Amino acid sequence: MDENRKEELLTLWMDDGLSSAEREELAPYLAKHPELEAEREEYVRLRDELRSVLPEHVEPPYPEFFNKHLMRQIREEERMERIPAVAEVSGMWSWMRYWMVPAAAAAVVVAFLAGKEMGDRPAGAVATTSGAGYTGELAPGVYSAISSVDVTTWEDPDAGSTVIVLDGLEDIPSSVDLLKTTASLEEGEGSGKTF
Amino acid sequence: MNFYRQIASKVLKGPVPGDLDGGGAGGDAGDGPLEPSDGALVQRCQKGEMKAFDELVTKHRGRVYAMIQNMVKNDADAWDLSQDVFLKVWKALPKFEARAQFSTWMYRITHNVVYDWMRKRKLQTVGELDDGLLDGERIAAGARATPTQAARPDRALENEELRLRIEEALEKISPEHRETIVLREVNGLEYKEIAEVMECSIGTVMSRLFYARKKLQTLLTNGRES
Repeated sequence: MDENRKEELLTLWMDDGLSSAEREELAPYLAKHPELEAEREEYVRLRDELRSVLPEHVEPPYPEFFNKHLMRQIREEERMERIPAVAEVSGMWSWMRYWMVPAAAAAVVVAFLAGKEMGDRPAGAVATTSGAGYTGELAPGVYSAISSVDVTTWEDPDAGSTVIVLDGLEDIPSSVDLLKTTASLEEGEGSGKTF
Repeated sequence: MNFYRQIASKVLKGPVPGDLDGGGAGGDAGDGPLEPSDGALVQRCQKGEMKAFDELVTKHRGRVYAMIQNMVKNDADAWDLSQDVFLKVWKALPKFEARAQFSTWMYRITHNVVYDWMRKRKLQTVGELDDGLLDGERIAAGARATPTQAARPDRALENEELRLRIEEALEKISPEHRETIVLREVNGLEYKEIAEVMECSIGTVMSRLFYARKKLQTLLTNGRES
């Protein structure tokens, strides 16, 4: 019997899938190799063990998130595919390129000049400057005890942020270890010391 | 003619593994009486219905994840690769023909994704495939490693030992042999379906099964003796 045919028949035999003609064809070979019967029984047991330890179905961890993440990826992919598609659509709009380029350049220049002009006085922000003492109505509680230090605050109510600039402070000597100073300050707080 | 078809079909397909136990594992897996069939879901997906795709994913993610986990032995990689599989399924769905069985087609995509990943990984870490990919120590603690129900401690230990022995043996055989065994014995695919998934002939499938079984038996017998 040819080797390939033998493998085919033995595989079918292991799976209990031989037709009667095939069973007859394989019978002489099985008679010569009686040990195969024991192997087959052993494999049937192994197959059961395989099925018991390797389940066909295992839910991935976080199954709900699995679906959500996948759907988000799909939407993202589709969005990315649409971007070049929009560029392709340009057909009837392609003539716009000729005047859109100089128009865009002009817009950039105008925006730059406007930004430069507004730079010193940001729109929506209120600046208050003082020496020692309170800085003004919009930033109460910010003051400097040193008369030579100017305190400037920039407050932007729309952004809900305040920037405080202390001008005139001496440089911090390089010998000061900021980390150590912070640590000793924290230690002092814990032990009730005052600085 | 019908008789010929029956014979031919038996030779080509082979018995369904579940049939040996009187179970039966053919058809679209998981189709319960209230669950829409894969075909119906696929049709809705092809019309661009994301909800239908969500249902399809929910229905099949466990099978895809289990198959990948059996191949790569790492939960995180299996999770990411399962995502890749379904992303590819979504992209390829418009071309899917209703004549084919969805689950076989999906397993084929899974096979391609896993083998691409293995190839890339092999290129990145030349020579480390066996050590890295197939190292039993790297098995992540996942759902499969965790008993799903309280078992007697001695029985749980026996099962755990058996699982480790089988996984160790599976890791020692080639990825092709391992996949053939898993698709046949665990997923219950017919020879013809395995051939479609692995893009090879039915003869190759039968030959791989023959040698994979032999090797697995030898490894497990040696393991037991030692």
